[in-house]
Amino acid sequence: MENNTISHRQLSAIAFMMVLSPLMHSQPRVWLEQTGGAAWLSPLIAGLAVALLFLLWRGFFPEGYAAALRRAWGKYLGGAVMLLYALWMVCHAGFVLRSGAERFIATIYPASRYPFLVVTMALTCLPAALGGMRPLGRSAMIFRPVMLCVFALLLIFAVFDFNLTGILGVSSAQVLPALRSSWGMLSAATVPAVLCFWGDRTSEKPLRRGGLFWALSVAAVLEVSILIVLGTFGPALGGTFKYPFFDAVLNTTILDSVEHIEALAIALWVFSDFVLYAVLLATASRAAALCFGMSGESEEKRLLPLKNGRWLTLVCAAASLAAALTIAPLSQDMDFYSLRLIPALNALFVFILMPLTGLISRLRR
Amino acid sequence: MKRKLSFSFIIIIVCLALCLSGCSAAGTIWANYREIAQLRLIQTLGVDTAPSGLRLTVSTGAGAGGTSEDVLSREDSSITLAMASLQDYTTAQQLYYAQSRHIVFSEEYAAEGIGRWLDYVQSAADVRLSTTLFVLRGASAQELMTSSTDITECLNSVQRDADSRGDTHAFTCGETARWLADFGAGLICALRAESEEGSVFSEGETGLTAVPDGFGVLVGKRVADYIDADDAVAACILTGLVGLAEIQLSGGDVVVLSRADVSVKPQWSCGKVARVEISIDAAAVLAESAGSGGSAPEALGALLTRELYERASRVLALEKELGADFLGLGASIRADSAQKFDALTEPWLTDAELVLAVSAAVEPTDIPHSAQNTDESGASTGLGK
Repeated sequence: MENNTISHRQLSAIAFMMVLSPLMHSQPRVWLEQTGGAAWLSPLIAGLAVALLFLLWRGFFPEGYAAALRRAWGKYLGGAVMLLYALWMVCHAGFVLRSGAERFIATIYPASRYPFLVVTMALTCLPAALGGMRPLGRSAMIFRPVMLCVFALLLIFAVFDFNLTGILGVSSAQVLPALRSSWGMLSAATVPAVLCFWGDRTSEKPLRRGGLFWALSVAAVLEVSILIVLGTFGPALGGTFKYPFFDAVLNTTILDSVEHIEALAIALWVFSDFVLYAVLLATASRAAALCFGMSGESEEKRLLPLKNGRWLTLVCAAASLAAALTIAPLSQDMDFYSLRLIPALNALFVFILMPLTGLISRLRR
Repeated sequence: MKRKLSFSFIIIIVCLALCLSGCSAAGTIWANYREIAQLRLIQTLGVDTAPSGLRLTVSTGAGAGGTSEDVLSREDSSITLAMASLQDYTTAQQLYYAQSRHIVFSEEYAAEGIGRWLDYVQSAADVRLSTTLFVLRGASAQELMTSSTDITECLNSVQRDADSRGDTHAFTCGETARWLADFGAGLICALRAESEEGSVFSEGETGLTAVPDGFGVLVGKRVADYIDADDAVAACILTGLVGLAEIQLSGGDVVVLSRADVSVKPQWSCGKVARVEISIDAAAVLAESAGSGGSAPEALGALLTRELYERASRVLALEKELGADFLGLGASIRADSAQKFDALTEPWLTDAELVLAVSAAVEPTDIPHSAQNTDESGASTGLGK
């Protein structure tokens, strides 16, 4: 129980690390394709929207999302919906493994094959998922300033070669596409919503400032990444790259002396995949355990007591691994998952089911 | 229970070891690693036209410890096939292109189009977009690279000096690709192959060297025309790449450009760009006096104004004639009004009249006025002694 009690600062750090990977996977390219030079507007619009959503969510599930599901839908239907959530999280975890492998192969290790990377990542994250949310929260609090520092340094090194003349001006024809592409960010940034399942495990009263800080820091990070791409490549060329932000990192030099820093910078995204996958696994197994009337937690601090439904973590890990190894065997198939299927599922479970559950749960209180 | 837990840990660790170790090279990250001693680093590539497609010439550059450069050349139908073909001739080492610094196109190849190379560099994970591009006139890339002492060092020198010279700029693949994507046209640094004989007197054989010679104008990824070295100063000013360009005036005096600010002001009419007013405000210092007596700063300023006006006019006329915005003036026009610019249905250059205004000043220097009146014997005929 102790290992799953976390503070809201740790929740905020976990939420920040969770969004870095899905947001960087495709959003910069999508924004540039849809919005062109006005792509810098999208993070600002989406950041405001995320802050608002976060404030709304915080009021709904102080007792945890599982309790809200039971109250809203009843014991059996609520359990079924919880299982659905667990399934969604397992599939998403599989996608995280596959997209992380794809990112490594596309940018650093072209001669590698994805199964090895997928299996290695899954095995590395499994102990983290079994270890509880508190160690994950502590890890995220260490990773977050590292990533923020990386973004700041990349901006500093890239700014000397920036050319933003005539790019930042916005015409009325670009506003609607900017709004549309900010929706893409919203659906990618919804993944931390799964942390609502741990609402009953927070040790402090909700801190609204934490949520605002999270939304603003995510928007700031995205804004920096878009500016780096716009300044380095411009909107037309930037939209032709698969990973424009990582390509900009590939072509960054430090004081004209140090080159090829991309391996170091891109490898840091493993932290985001690590936190995201471990949280999805831990939350999926908890949801499944609660569905079957088990707590999903251990009284002991050791890693591998598997009673009380903790064995479900291994089942979820195996299922996510199977999903990762079977989806998108070819690189060109990744776009379907990252741009269509995953955002659609995220929207269904977070933007439709969650508010509905919250509303009904409140009415029945 | 403890034995079960230890067994589980052992299974996990063994699985991780199999994935992370180098035991299995195929498919793991270790498949990407090479011993550095097995690599032959390619630093310069040269591309010529050939009956089968293209001729690729690569140079390793002089190595550390004074080892001489190696040059290899093969002909094939595409870039990757030519690279693979070159590898057949270097069985002991693997050609490694991630350290490539320069690509030199022959004039004939550049006229056919360099789009294939831009696409290749964009998509390849190992070749960087910071690789500089050159177009070579007067010889083939193979001739230059095989007869030059060290082509990589020569091009490094051109790149280093380019920005300070003010009459050239070594555009990278990334810059070129961006300009082509944003404006549909761009510039590429032009080189002229010249013999070192009669200029270089040192031990060893003399061969060819590459001398900066203005710019090639890229229209739709093909070099459509050239800007000579003199007009290239104006092109650099208009694109914002101002350096310490030396300009010889009509009286024989030589001035060095110290500053050149450009302002671009469009005038809109009926939703189109009717007129673009381009103003150049330049300043220079006198570097060498011809002793003609007409070297007062005001007179020099007038001469410089006329010289810059003529050069910039020729460059702008070329832009209008080709219908290609290789100077990137569209960015400044869009900065003026993004709404109107994005609403244009045709390229802005189609209907626009380009109006140029130049004002230049030569700043007073420390060259003594008396030195301008000294006769050939060295005796001063003016003030002073």
